[in-house]
Amino acid sequence: MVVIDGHTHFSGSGMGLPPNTVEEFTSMMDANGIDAVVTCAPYSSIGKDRTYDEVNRFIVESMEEAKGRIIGFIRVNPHLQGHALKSIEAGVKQGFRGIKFHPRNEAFAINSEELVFPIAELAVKLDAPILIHTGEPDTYGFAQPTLVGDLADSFPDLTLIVGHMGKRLYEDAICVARWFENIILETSFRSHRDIARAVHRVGAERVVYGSDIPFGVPEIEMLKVRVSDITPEEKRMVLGENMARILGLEASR
Amino acid sequence: MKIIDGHVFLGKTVYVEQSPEDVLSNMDRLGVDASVVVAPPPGPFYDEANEYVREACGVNPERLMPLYHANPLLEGMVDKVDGALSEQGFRGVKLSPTHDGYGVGGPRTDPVIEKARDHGAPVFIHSGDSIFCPPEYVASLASRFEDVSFVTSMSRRAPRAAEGKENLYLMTRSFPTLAFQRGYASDLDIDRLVFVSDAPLGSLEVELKGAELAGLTEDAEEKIMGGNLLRILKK
Repeated sequence: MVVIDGHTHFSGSGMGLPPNTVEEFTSMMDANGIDAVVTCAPYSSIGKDRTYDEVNRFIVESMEEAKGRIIGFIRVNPHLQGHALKSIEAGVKQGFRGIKFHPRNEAFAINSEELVFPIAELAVKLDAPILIHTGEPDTYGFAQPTLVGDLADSFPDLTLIVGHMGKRLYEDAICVARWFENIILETSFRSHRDIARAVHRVGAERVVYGSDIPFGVPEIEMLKVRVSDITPEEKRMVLGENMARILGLEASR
Repeated sequence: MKIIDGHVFLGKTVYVEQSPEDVLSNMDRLGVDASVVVAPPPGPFYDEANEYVREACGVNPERLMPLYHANPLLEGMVDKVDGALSEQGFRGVKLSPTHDGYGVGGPRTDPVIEKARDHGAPVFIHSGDSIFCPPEYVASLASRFEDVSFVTSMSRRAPRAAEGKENLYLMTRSFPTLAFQRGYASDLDIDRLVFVSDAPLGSLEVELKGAELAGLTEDAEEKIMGGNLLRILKK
């Protein structure tokens, strides 16, 4: 069985919370039976220039060092659109497999035609999925999962991963995932019941396990999947096979 | 040390179904000594559901402790709360403002809280997810009713709202494991945390794992996993 943590953050020694080194990260993976992680920069690592260039470089180096166990998603600030587009083009050549948006922290609406659509067009061209933080209805609505539906509708060939499944807006996230087949739901911070509901309503093939390391505990987030009322086959899909398929990795079944 | 699950739903609604056998078998499997059980929301009527809870606790008095689920919108509720606490063995009162559609802290809820105070019973209030019951509203109640113990949901703003409110307790779901692991649990008062699973909405197994991984001191564990709750439940 392949286990891939679909949502983690990594920033390197001194820049944020542990794990701070590739060795620490792979040890954490080994301790939890995780084969690989999707990772991206945390907000704490944003530079004075409001980009994530420095930590993105660190993640590229980490991908090389971890030999396939760290899968980078490049984090960009859509307000710096020209820079973001260039960074993504270059980043994919360097090994990044997807893009990370954090509409709450960077303060933009997920469906912004001005800020997001040009990046979404590039993501389609590069076949790069976008992982989007969602939740918090009280932060000006930037990160509401329903807005992911608007983006999914506009870009049907773009794979959009709804981080945290909308948090307490999880019913909204499940709704838009039912409406648009290019939406994937990521499980971190949701309960075992919410995970089961997502699988039953959307289909197991579009739900992926995530822990949000270092802000979540992988052992606990994985346990929620394991105790949820879904079949063993569905658990295998959620815990890793789906993310392997999305990323075009070889799933070791 | 006794482990008590401080908030478990027992009975059936449109969203939730859990029998006494379900609760007890999970407790046996996972090593929990006792559970505080309450009829699941929404009401609006809880008479039959409260009776179901009372009967289940009557059969298992050492292991299941009942809360009376009140809906202050209904006429005669204060008298019902009075009877529940004085004659029927209920150990506290539960309010679900989000699910039953009323705001906490006003003329509707005050009489129920006053009645709980008369009996020395705690009031459990669901909070943190609607305009009816932000944690600050519960904190305000705690200030106005200093001789009533309130137990409310964990949410992002709850620890700050509870700061300095010695009679306001926070339920632990989802268990703040990382806060304890990394030593930034200073805004959580170990004397006012109550371990809960919220089962079946939450998972007892997941919450116990969260507590286990938190690396609690012996003192904190004794208090959070049951000691705090036993101190405030109606005797």
